[in-house]
Amino acid sequence: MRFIAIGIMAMLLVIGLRAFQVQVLDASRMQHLASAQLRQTITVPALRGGMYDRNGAVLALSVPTKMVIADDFQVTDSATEAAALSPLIGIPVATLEPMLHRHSGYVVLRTHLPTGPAATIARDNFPGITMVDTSQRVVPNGSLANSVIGLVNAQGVGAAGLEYQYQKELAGSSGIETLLETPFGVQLPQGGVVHQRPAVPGTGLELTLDEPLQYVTEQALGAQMLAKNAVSGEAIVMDTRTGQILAMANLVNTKAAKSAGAVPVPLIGNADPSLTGISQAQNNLAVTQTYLPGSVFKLVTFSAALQAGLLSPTQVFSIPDYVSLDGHTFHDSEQHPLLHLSATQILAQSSNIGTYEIANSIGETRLLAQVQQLGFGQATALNFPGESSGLLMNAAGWSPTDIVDLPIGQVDATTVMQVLDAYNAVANNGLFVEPSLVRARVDAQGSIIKVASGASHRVLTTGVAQTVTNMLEQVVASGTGQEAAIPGYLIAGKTGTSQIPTPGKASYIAGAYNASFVGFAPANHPVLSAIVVLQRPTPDIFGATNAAPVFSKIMKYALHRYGIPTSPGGSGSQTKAALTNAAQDLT
Amino acid sequence: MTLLQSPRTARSTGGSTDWWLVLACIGASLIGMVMIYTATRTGLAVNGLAGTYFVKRQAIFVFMGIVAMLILTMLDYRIFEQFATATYIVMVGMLLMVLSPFGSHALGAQRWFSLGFVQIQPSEFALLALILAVATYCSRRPEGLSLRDVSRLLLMAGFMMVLILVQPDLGTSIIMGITLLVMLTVAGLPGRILTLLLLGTVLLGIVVFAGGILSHYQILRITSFLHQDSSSPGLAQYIYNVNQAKTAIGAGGLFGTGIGHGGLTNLGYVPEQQTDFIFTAVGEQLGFIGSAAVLALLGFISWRVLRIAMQAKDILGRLIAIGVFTFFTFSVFQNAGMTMGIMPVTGIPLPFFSYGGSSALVFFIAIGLALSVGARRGGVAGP
Repeated sequence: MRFIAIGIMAMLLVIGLRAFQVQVLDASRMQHLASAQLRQTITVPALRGGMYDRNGAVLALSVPTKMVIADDFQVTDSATEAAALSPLIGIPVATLEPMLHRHSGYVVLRTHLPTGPAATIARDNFPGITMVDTSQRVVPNGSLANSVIGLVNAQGVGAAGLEYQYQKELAGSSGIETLLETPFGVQLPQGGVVHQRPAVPGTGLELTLDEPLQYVTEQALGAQMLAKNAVSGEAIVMDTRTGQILAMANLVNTKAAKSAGAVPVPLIGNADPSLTGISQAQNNLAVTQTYLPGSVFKLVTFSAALQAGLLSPTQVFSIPDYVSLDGHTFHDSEQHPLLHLSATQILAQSSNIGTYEIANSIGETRLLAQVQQLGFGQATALNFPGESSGLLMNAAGWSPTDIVDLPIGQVDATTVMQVLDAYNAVANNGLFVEPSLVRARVDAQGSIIKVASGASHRVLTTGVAQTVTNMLEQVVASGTGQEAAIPGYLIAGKTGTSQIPTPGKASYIAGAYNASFVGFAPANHPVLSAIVVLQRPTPDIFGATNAAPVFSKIMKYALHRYGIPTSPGGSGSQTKAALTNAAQDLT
Repeated sequence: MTLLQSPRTARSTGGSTDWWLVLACIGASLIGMVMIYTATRTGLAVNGLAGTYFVKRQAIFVFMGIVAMLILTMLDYRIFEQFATATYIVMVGMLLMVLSPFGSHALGAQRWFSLGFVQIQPSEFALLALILAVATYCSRRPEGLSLRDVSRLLLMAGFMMVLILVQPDLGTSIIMGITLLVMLTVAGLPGRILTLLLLGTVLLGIVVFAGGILSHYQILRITSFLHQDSSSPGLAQYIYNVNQAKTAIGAGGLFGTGIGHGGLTNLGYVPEQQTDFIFTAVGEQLGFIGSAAVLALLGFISWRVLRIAMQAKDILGRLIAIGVFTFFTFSVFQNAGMTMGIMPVTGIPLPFFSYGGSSALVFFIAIGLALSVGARRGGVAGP
């Protein structure tokens, strides 16, 4: 009996020894295993930074919201719970009740519930209802400037435009919470947050855009696109000295695009309700799309000839009705007798033959060099998502007819932005300024950290810039650009009407043209540059009549908005001329 | 070893109630209730129920158990002899009934009677009936057990064991067998018969294990016990149970996480943590110090019962006490052992700790029987 008793009692000793092994010798390994199971690490999303215009007006903002999730297995009385929850969550009882007994364990009731009702739901501790932090991107101005701002996807990640480009800064960095959970994923009622690394909100961006000017730009462009049946249109307004972009519009006329059979452009919602049929292009076409610029490209030839000292504004050229070159015949769009025009007049009337004669006098090499000098063929400092560098002719691909076609803007493909940059260099006394869209960063505390404006470099001498400006003034005063005139201001600019190549073919689309106007004001002391392009207006195809009036409208508003003094010599001469002479540029 | 001194030299020859044993049992069940509360409160709260739901019910049974224990202490154990046959027959009847449609199913076994809010598990009471029956039978053979007696006793116990085995409740049948063997040995079983019995047990074990008598889950439990580090998906759920238990106990470390701060057992990461795996709550929250203290307390109870057996004045008393001692101590060993992976998983509760009405009552009654013997000890020659 003793031995049996000793044997049985020894069993308890064995248990004790085993407990020692498990709890003392293996303790750290077991503790590690235990905490790995108990602790659930969840990511706390950071609130995305907002985007503001140059005056602090909100363009895009993230508002904290809650995603409401039901673990319907934990809902015992779905009818009562649905009735209580319905007014808070904004879902009718009839819809909500079935969601609470779907036998799925994870039913998303609402993705973006405002924080007010969410706090009530949290306080009332509904069985089976949990909430996680989400946020909603709000754009108070509807679609305004959407093609520039871009958009965020359903996960709140930037998917286009500046939202995409500045994703890293806007997003901030998410935080971490470690909490205790039951094996069924239920967080403890007491909360039980074990460890926390707070989320760092994203950095906001103060854009260079000026919201009211952006609105006026979109309105003027959109209205004209409707009036002129243009398929799409772009307009940019830029601060001449700093290169800051004050307005940037990219619109699509859905009806005209459909009837023209144009390549579909992704859209983001409708533009302003007053412009039925006008939509925001999802892409910032002004920087992502290339086109043949047409006569606005004549700037290259004239500035190159002046820079080389081979041209003076008053130099007179004999312009025949046509020229023959390499078996091809080139002429201006209207027949005319032999004309004697000064260089200024050639530019003002946009004579193709005259421009060819000047180009011929300076030669291919100088021409190709000047194209690059003015920034064509290079992406801008915007570094905008999907930005195009354009497509340039080089010496190796040069053909004899290019000496006619390249100067009139029918060879090199450029972006709308590049054309404005080149003209802005003229306005800025020959200094080329890189464009910019972001003016400052706004940190979580609201402090504003300025971002340096675009770098500048000289591309034209001051003298050449001034001469070209004087010549461009004549375009508006007496030439093709008279509809760009603004009473009281001297305006310099150039019209363009260019043909559109058929994709994949060595021909042009019949009847399809790009109409453009680019210029700056006041010409005597330029502060603002702008460009307006309308794609495929019909039946009126000209830059002079399609784009110049829009330029005038936008620029007039901008000059008044910024309180720019009127020009001493710009009283009424340009305006009168505009009313009496509707000359057209000829590409 | 003074603990195991024979009755002839026992200091005390007069009878008196062993209040230390009474206090130890009440103390153990109070600690047990604290453990049940901490192991169930969060799970109840998550389901919107009061955290005291389980512990309140346990308290009722503990109270009933204490009353039963004290009543039994006051009774002379010799009168149990008169009821031994009757209780045996009643228990066999109940075991038969539990297998009938009157019994209720839970967790894949038919072990319980459902009486409204309580469930009664007769197999636990059957063990007590068997202890009484065997003790009575042997006390009536003071000259020693013949082969015929042994065969009768084996038949008597075997019938019960088979009925319990088919429920299926392997753990209780095994404890029954072990208790029987120990009681027979103490009763003066001849050496050769004992040898034969042990050989027979081993043989039976092989037949049971290899002969397809065990359920599939029982085989898996034993296989998983032998391969605790296996990654076989078939064994996963059985290994999971033990691994979670071991992890919880180990996570307690030397000093434990503190009462109410046991992550795994308080949040329900250990299956059956308030019933069969209640020792995990002890291990995690009270650490090695606490587990050792609890084992020491249970060991103290074992020792006091053993002491009663040693000092019993007749064979009946001695066998009752040694039966209770074996049943109690082996339950502790089996239960705590399985939570730490040194015994296979069975449904044996941890005495005074596991949640469950039957087990609370059974252990108090068992100790009550021993106390009755102890209160009337001394004066009789040993074996």
